Amino acid sequence: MAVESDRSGDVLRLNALVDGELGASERAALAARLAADRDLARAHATLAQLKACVLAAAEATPAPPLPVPRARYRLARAAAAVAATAVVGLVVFIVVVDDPGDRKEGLEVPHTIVELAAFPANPVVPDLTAAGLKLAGVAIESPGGVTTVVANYRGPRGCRLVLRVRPVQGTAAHRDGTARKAWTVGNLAYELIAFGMPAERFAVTAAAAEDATRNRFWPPDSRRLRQASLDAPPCVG
Amino acid sequence: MARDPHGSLPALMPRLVAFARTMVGDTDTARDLVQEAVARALGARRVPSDPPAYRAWMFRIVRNAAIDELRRNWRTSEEPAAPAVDLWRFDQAQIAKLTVERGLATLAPAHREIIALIDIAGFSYAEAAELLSVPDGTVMSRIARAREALLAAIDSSALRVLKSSHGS
Repeated sequence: MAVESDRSGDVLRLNALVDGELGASERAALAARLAADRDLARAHATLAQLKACVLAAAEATPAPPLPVPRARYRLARAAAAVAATAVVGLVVFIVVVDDPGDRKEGLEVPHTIVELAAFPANPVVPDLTAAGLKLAGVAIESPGGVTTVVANYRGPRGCRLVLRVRPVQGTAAHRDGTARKAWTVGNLAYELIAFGMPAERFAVTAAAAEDATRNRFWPPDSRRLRQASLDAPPCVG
Repeated sequence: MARDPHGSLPALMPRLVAFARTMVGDTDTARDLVQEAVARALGARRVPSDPPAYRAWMFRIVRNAAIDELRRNWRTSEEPAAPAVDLWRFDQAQIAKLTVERGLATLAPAHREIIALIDIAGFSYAEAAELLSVPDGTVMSRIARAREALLAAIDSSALRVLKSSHGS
């Protein structure tokens, strides 16, 4: 019993040593025991290696870019945070279309308009709620040095879409996804990428997205979009 | 001029994602969770100005989002998706990484969480205790048990780092 208790106390102390949680005197006492006890030293080495492996495995995960919030009042903080990433040296303005003058009478226009100083025009990030896809975030990236607005959409049953918008002069740096649709509006190149979305649903959704970017104040055909999302099997990408 | 309370956020991002990934076991979900959590944080009215408090606050937001995600998954999925891997492109570092990842995936959520907080997020025992609302001693014993469980999981895993033939 006492031996078991000692062992469990040793395990706690070894973990605390590996985590830098021991005081100087405890550390010195344990170090002396480690020098004399081969099994204890082996356990310590294993724990230290395990901690390093966990961290190394975790650090292999790439972080996403900082999202840019949609609401106007968050502008200053978002711009400061994005600028701090040093990924984009531009001032970023994101506004939600909420000017009554921008609306056609009686119609809700939920699309997000991105104002970006370096862009020749303001990209439109379509609202695809009717297609069962929620806008999870809008971010500014610069793959291959080309400033790109990236919008992520997520929906139930594993469905995910990414919309990338860049000036037409830039070259697309990604070739991911299982299906894609590209189009240009003025000086902007749009690309909608699906990840395992059934082809028919993607075609309907992409057509609505393109429509929204070309004719930004016109709402999508909600019934058709909704039906396409209901009829489609789960996304498997 | 007032200091930006979110100034340390870019530096925190990799650890936040790694933490979320350890919690939920999926890279894409972790990235989405962190993006949503950060968007929520950027929109918060009250933000801790003290850097350690801000760090703990951000991890708490991501932790809550991860717990919500785990609850949703618990209801909707039977088995976590296996990570997509290319079987013929492993080197020893990749095997070690996979072994650890698979070992972590088998642990109880509380064990995964404490390893993520201490080893990945880099919190002290006291900080982790405050974040989890448990005594310091609980963190100390929980991390020890979690590591023992992880070692046991690795021991029983089929993956092994092959011993190099050099000098043996």
